[in-house]
Amino acid sequence: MSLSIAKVATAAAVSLLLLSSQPTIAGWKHIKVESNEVGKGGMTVVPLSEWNRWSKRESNRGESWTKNGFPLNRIDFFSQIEAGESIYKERSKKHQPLPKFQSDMLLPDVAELFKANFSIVTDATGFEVTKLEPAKLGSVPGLKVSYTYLHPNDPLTRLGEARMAVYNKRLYVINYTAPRLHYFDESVSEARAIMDNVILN
Amino acid sequence: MRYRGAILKLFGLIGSLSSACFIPAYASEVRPTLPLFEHAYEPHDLDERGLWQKWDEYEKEFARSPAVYHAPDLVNYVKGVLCETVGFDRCGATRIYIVRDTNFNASMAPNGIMSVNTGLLLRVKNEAELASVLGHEFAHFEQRHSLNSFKKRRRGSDLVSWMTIVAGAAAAAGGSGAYQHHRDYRTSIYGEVYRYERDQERESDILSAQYLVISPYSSGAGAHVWLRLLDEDAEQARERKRSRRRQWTGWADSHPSSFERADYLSRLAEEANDEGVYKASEYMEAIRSYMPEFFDDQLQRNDFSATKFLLEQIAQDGWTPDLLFLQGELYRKRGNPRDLVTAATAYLNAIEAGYENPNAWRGLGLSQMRSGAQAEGKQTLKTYIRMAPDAPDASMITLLIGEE
Repeated sequence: MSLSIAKVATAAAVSLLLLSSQPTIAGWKHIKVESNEVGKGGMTVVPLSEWNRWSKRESNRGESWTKNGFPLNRIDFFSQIEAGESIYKERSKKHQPLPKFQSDMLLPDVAELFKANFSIVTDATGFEVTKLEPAKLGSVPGLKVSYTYLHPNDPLTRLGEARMAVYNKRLYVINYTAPRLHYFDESVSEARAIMDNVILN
Repeated sequence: MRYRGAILKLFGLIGSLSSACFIPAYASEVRPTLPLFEHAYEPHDLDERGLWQKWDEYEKEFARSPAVYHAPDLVNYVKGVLCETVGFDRCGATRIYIVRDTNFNASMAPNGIMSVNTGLLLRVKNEAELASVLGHEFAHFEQRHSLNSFKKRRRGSDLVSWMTIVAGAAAAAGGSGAYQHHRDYRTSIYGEVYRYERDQERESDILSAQYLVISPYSSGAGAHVWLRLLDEDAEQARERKRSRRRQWTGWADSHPSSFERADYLSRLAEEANDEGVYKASEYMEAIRSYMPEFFDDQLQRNDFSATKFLLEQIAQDGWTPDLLFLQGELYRKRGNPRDLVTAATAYLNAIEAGYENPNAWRGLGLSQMRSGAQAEGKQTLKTYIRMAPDAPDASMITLLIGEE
């Protein structure tokens, strides 16, 4: 009898351990038109319409939203990137190392850092900066990068607009991208409003 | 590098045992015979017609895709090299597409689509090397490898399906170990498919070498491509502190390892003893105007050592102004204080050598400013804005110049 109780206790302990060690299943969260703490509190954003947040993070203090699915439109938030860290999460140091933010970078260097991080992570090719200009991210002076790019074996030309700023020696980026066909224009004004009104924490 | 010759010889001994059946030996005076050529070939059976139909549909979209690099001069040049390699009668069945992709790759579809990556064009050094890769892809087409591979995979998956039914029945009847046997057979069938596809790759390599022997190009170029890829990988492996790749052929590999390919291609060239040409200067001239754009994609890969190796390979016959500019870009992007000094020197050398693209002044100015030479940097950036007032970053750089 005592043996069977021990067995049950062991089985319960093992199942508890298995349950607790199971990976979190990725999923969607509804983003409402209200004040949202983004990237574990790195930014405060109030969208003009509803979005969907994917639970997988592209960076430790960031998150990604979409309206119709990531291939069709996405807005990525990256906050509080310290010197020595990459913009996107570095998933393989040996196979896909990413260039890191450096404290002495000039703003055009930051734009090039974004270009390289983005190209490597998304496997983009033909990345071309169509406009690089001064702009504010929220109330902080920074820069705006307008760009086009392609994916190999994909017939769609994609457009993007990213704003970035260095605040308290840490880098903040909001990036909006979508196919040129229909989707970019559909949500770009809202993406710009988000970039205009974001509060950097 | 120092031991590579010895390792290649050792590998040659092993390779000669494993792949002896694939390597034809021919005396230098005997020219190889190419496969029979059928003009305006049409697909024969149902499978082949289906494959062609699928690829014909694909090509209609693909030809309009922005990922295809539209440069008629370059396409004509690559097609010309292919025609010199395989013969002007045979090459007519293909359409060449240059694809903007930094990876070293080319591919061939059964209906005659030949895709060549810009990353491949950056990595070959002469027409003969390009010819060896194009010949390899053309051999897949001429030997109808896509069709054979499709049939082989289908036979394999049919067999696995039947075995699943048999194993299920055997297990239900109490047959112990039925599932274990099923797993073993399945593994063996998958292995057989991979091996079959690697053999097709070897066959294409060998046929490509035969095209080169008959063509004006030297068949020795084939091995050079793979040896240089191994060296590039070694540079990347050292920087990223990982083990080297493409040394040995694995069970599930789709292609023989670069080492094995270099080995049997160099032995074939030695046996053929042909005296072909390489045409390095003609090749560099043909891709020179496209190179900065192709190289810019490579510069985004955060792959300093391999990119430096690649650039030094291209510059082996001399550092031209555009190569000096790319050297500046490479070092500036890594951005360590010592890199910024090297970058500034490279930009200055490019300008001194006659480079007229305003981006050299942009790179130089940004390097100077980041190194702490603010006044000098601003002066250089003013020159950049004067030369390129409509540059995409003109307002950003103007702001930077105005900052104190």
